[in-house]
Amino acid sequence: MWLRPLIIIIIAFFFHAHPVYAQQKIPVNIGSAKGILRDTVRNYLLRSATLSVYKVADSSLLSYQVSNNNGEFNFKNLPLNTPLRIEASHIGYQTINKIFSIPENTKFIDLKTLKVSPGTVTLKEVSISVPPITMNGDTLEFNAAAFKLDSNAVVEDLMRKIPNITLWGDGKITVNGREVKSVLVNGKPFFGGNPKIATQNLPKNTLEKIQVYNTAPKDNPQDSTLEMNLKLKKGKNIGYFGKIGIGLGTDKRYETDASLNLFSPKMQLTIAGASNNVNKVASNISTLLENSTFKGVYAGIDYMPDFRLSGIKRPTEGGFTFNYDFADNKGPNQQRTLASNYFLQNSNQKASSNTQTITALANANTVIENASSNDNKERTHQIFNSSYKWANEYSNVNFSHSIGINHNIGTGETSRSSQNEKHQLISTNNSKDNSSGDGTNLTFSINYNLSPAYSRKKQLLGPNKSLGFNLNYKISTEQNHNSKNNITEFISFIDHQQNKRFDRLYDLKSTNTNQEVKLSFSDLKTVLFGDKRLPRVSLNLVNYLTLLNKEEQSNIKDINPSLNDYVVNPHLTNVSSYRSIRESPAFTIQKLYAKGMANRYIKRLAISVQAKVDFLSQTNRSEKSFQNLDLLYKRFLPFASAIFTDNQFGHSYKEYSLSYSTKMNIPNIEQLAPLVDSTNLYYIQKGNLNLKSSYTQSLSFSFENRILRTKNKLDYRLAIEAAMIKNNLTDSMLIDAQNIRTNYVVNSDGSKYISYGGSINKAYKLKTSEIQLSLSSSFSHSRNPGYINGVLNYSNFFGTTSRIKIFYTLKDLLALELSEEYRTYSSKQAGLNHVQFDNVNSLTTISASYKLTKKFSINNNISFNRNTSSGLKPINYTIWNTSASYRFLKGNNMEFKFSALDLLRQNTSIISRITANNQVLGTQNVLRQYFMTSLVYYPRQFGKKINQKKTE
Amino acid sequence: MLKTRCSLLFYNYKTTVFIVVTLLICNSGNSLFGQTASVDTSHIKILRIDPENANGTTVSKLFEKVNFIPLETSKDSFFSDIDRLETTSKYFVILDISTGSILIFNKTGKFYKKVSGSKIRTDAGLNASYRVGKMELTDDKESPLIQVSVGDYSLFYNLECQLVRKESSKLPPRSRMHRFSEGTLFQTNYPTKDSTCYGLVSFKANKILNSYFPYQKNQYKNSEFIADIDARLNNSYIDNELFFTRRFDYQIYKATPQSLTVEYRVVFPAMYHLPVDFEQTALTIKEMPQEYFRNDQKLAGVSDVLKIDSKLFFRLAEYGKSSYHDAFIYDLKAENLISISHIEPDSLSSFLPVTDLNERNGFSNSNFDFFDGNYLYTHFSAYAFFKMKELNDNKNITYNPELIRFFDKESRKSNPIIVELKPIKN
Repeated sequence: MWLRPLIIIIIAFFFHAHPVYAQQKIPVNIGSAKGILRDTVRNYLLRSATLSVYKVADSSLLSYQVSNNNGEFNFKNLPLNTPLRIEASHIGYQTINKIFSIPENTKFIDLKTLKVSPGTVTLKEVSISVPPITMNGDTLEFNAAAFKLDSNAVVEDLMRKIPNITLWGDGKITVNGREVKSVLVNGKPFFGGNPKIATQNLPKNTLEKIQVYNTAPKDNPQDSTLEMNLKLKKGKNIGYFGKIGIGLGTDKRYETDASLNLFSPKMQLTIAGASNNVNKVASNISTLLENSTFKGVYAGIDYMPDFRLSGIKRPTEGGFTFNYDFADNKGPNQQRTLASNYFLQNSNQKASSNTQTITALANANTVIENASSNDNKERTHQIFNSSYKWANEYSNVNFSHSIGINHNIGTGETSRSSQNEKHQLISTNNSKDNSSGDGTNLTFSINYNLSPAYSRKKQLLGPNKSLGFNLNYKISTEQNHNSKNNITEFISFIDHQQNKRFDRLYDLKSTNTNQEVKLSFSDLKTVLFGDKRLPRVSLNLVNYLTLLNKEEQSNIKDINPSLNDYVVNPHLTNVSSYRSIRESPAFTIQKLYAKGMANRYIKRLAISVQAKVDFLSQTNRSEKSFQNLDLLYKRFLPFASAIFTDNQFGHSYKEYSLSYSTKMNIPNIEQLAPLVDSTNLYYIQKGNLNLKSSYTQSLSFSFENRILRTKNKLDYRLAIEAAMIKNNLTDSMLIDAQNIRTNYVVNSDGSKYISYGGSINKAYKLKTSEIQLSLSSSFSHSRNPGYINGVLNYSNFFGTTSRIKIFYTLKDLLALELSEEYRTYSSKQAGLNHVQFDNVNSLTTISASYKLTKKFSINNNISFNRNTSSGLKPINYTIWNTSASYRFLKGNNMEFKFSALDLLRQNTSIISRITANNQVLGTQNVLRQYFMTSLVYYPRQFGKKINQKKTE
Repeated sequence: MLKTRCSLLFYNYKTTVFIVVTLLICNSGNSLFGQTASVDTSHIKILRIDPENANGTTVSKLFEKVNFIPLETSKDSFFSDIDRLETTSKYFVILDISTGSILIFNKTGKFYKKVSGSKIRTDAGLNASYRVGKMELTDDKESPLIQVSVGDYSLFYNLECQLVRKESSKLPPRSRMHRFSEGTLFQTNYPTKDSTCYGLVSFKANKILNSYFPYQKNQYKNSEFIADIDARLNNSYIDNELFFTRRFDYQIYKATPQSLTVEYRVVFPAMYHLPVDFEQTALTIKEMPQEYFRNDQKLAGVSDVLKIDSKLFFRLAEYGKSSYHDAFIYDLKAENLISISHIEPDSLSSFLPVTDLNERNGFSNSNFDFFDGNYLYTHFSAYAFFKMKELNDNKNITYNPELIRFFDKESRKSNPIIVELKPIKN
């Protein structure tokens, strides 16, 4: 444990070893200057004009602000005795300049009235200097040209330079303390809408301005949300950007990725691919894209391989996304967009583990199972989907389809042995698997939505009556073909008669067809009762219908040692078909109460009650007569909720929510009447035809408070949920003296759980740095009944998680994240015995990125892990990853990087988990120390080349 | 939200989805009422208005007296917003639409009496779904009655808040009415039994005197751009005179019991001016007006006309762009256009603004609330008032004792503040 404080001290020292560089840009600023702007021609005070203060010596921008409603401005923190230039600008006015300096003795200067004169509109275009910030109607605009940055800076770097904008550690953006809900580029989502794709790729030099505006409903401006639009310079709305990277490391480690993104006003196309054997797995194109952004000049926490992932993965993936907008500039309510995606992933995983499972039995007896396994899996997955959206003011239609093709192949070996509590060997079970499978699936769906406003406007149902309508239909089919060879040998050291050996071939084919229809009518009240009756009540009717058809064919063969050939296993070979129909009509009544006082507050209470009936029929036909089942389930599933919100304008927003919900869970054929495959004697699943459906009732409460009154706002929220399950589907396990386990699913009452979660977030924006704090904690308790050798046992589980996270950034030099996480788990048995398993994990992580020069940066990521389990010594290990990168070429397009990962070679990745009356401990193979050298090239072009020359 | 204005009845152009137009004056429709009356155009005065070059002025150059009157905040008097304000010699009478109540305060702001929304609905025999939508005082100068419209009823209360009588009255939607003291009644958007409607009709003793601006009922049915007719009556606060304005028409009409005359024709610089035949063009436009005028600064019309001495107060309706500075005063003598958003606070108003137009608060929807012949009234929310005061915080301003008490004791949640302005007369 000595290492943790030492490293913190080293890092702290290291970051403070460059005070000169850090303080260069922070002169002693204590002077202030105020004044008034007046249009002397029209005789009024000029509000919303931009005032910028520059240092005369080097024309550097020191500060800026917008004149207030009285035409006044007041600058603080300006340098004393230094020649300064103030510039006042406003659309339609001639820009004026005044040189001044703040005397050292008074530390203050009153610039009195600055006279501005109207100018022609064209003056704005020829004006040499651009104000940093302007108000254009209700839109706040930050003009990129006013901020001097490195030529390789991206939009994100510009945002960090603007005092009004905050970029958060989790990717959130706020402007003057308010969260930006969406970021657009020239009014449209940019490559899937993830803000990082735009802000970390688009060069600052392609940007004309950042526009920030409200997208508020006019009747309630306090509820507005902020939207940000990145307006590109003329001719820059077409271009490409991408990444080509290759890295080679010790221990045969490698990583390579390439992506190319093309965009024009109507079209966006991405082609991307990646391959590595360092556990960097992306499940779609967006993730690939998010991890291959250019990034600019600011320090940022690096994307690291996941050292806690089990096994070694070797993914190779790639694909494309294509978006086309057919309704460009036809207006905000008109949408005609086509989006297509293709993704191929081939993944090879090698995983090995050694575990020990301790199972508590009655009378303080235990069974100890030691297992070691080696798996090698390869999976290829392809998916192609497209969707077309059409929308006008009142209706929208969405067609979408998806095609998926899967192929997998794998081998596995497991050796297991069991001991009793005296550590005497009682049995062993060793098995080998060879498997392969192919599957295809096809989905088509259509969604049509008609807003209630349409029937009201067209008076289709009479005056003041309206009805909304939504139809959603989805059909999907899936075909799978899997084959497997399993060889298992079971040896009993108690009863040699029980020894068994299997060599079994499986050939399984299945076809599923699933159809879902959801039909809903909203705003039924006006049709049934008119506009005036039942005020603030809404009635909605929804019907869900689901049809599932499943055909299965299994051919199972066993080796016949005397024939030395495989013969059909008549017990497991089968042809079956399964059909289920689920019909669930639901009727919802909602009543809304609202109380508001103009310019003060609005309080709303919405109470909803839903009556839903679930009818479900299951039909199974099989060659095995005991599997011929016709079952019908019916249950009333009520739901109720009450949501209260209290919006005190400009002060706070509170939301309380209470809901009661019910759920039915039905047993499946595998639980009711399975064909028992006894190759795995350590777990034999048997059926229970008497199973009933389970019924869950849950109650949940949540509370959220957002304090809006201050600049450094505070958020906190908590949620509590409790549930009781009647007839829960639980296990009844018979464990014999040789650890042969036979499991039945049975219904039992008494299942319950309660969970709590809470969090607090707070941010401080200081002059040159930013601190973001977040605290969260959760607690859960559950009681799960189950039978072990016929004895009813309750497993009581307790778990807690506490986390504190601090994110700190200092100018463009340093990004630092500290987090401490503490988790406890405990499982206590009641009924069978009083055995208790405890497990405590703590994790401290320090991530830091530091820029030594404009082109050279270093990254560190250190995590300290500590794991304590009952009856064992605590395990401590530290993972330290570090890297240094250097950017070169004129546009910083090339990056050379050296990384040292798991520098201390301590990654052990412990397995430690608790399930009911089992405690599992062990180790598994994980990624371990390697060093890598990589080279990355970022091809980038924004705007046509010819145009660029002209504009330059 | 629909709000009434000081000019008889109004709702905001820009927040209205269904846009309205009238027909050509010369449109000849066969009417049950015979011939459409002609509009007198012989006395037109041309006003050249360039909103971009409106001037500023100070409070004391326009007004000789400014009073900020905070309305008492107590459990009984607490209300939401002033949706309509009228005054008597002793009282302020206020309609608060969100609580549906009528509140009476004396001229110093002290609470006197109120009729709650639930009482009004009970008196009318209606359930909670009906909104109290309109309020005005009857012409009786000595003891006016408060006329409240709810559902198809008009209820009349005295200033002691007692119900005096109840009448059934049904105006077609979008139709507005004004009664002259001599008995003539003007109604906008008057539907006849056949397919013809009139933009403006005058009655006396239930007999139609004159009808103007005829149009066919279904003429605008299939147009997204124009869904209905819009015509407005603007109280001139002069006996038996009324200003009348229409969408897409830059003329200000004056109605008297006998005639309708064009009093002023407003001419704007070309960039703001709609094409002359725009009323016809509008019928063919498929988009919503906000969409159609997205990149344009065209002005839809003139409204809220009020004439005090030689000063003409009015608003301009603009599409698309923000228009919080759309309120003006035209000095007919000096031919000087003043922008209300550029009235500079000075010592007369304790350096506080006299409208909340620049806070983008109530004034942009509600305009001036009332003119009683001497005083012009507007109001602020306490929320806006505190924000305005914040701008003065680092200056040495001495407020009067009532304002000192208000800023010390009251909060942003207190009742609104009435601003009483006495215009300087020539």
